[in-house]
Amino acid sequence: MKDKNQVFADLKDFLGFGEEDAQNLKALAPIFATHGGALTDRFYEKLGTVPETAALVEGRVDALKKTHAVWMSELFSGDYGDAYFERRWKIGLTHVRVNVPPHYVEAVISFLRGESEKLLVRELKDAGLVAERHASLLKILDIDLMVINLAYAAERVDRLCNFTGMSKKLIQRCIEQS
Amino acid sequence: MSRSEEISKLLKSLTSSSADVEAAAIVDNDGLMIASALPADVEDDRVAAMSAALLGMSDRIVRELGRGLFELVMIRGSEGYTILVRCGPEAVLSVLAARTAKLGLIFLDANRSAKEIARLIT
Ligand code: HEM
Repeated sequence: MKDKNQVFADLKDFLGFGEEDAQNLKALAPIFATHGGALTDRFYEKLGTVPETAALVEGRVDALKKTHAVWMSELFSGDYGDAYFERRWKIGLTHVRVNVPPHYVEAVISFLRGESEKLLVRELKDAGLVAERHASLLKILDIDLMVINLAYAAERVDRLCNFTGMSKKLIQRCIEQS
Repeated sequence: MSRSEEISKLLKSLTSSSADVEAAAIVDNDGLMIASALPADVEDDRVAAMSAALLGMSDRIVRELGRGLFELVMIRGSEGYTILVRCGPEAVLSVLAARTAKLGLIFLDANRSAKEIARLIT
């Protein structure tokens, strides 16, 4: 695979994520500082109703909510350099370690895409402003998800390589040959 | 003689050394076929990838169980044997032998060939 930092740069480039988006996101920080916690509470409530995810969060919901609040605040920090994406990459690695089903991470992001729009409509009122800022938020949510998923997939292959003694090239060859 | 010609020659001499050795191939750790004297109906690329996978797993289990360094793995089927022997750090020699083969002799020949092949490819 390409160098990680290059992948981050390519993704930003592909989505046209730039300084304007950074400013839009920074401007949203106060809204999410006030209302983000309620969104987090809502999706943890949902995760608690699915046996697969409930088992993973049981007994540590408060700690995980705090972790999540940090993640969310970083979305609006205005700084999207390599260190930002390294932290996202680490989320993917941690999720493999605890066996988080990746489609539920996608589901949480999907929830945030929808709910954040409602929140912005309520708080900003101006439709043009909502559209512009929400577009930037969608981009960063998607890039975050892509990086988390990439790390998740890469970590699984790394673990398989370690366990089986097979190289990544060999695993790729096995996939192609099967 | 080029390196690959020398390797092919070694494989040929291994397969013709005894009627019990039916076929042989050399595969690198990434599952790429280096040289093959396998039957025509065998899909070289698949067997190469499978051999390398088995090599990787065998290497791991030898270490996990404190058996030193991996040297050889043998699989017995109702119609014969498949024997994988390490050829240095980068490759493995795969030998197909008849069910009735004298294994001691096959091991001897396979080990000797593996050493020579290792010298050629490393
Ligand atoms: C938008 C989606 C998500 C984000 C951004 C996210 C973020 C994070 C972060 C930042 C960490 C800490 C990483 C670290 O310590 O290095 C973490 C850990 C964790 N996440 Fe997620 N997460 C998400 C979805 C989920 C889902 C759907 C589950 C399912 C139950 C989950 C379960 C966990 C668990 C159990 C840990 C703790 C791992 C440990 O033992 O340290 N996460 N997550």
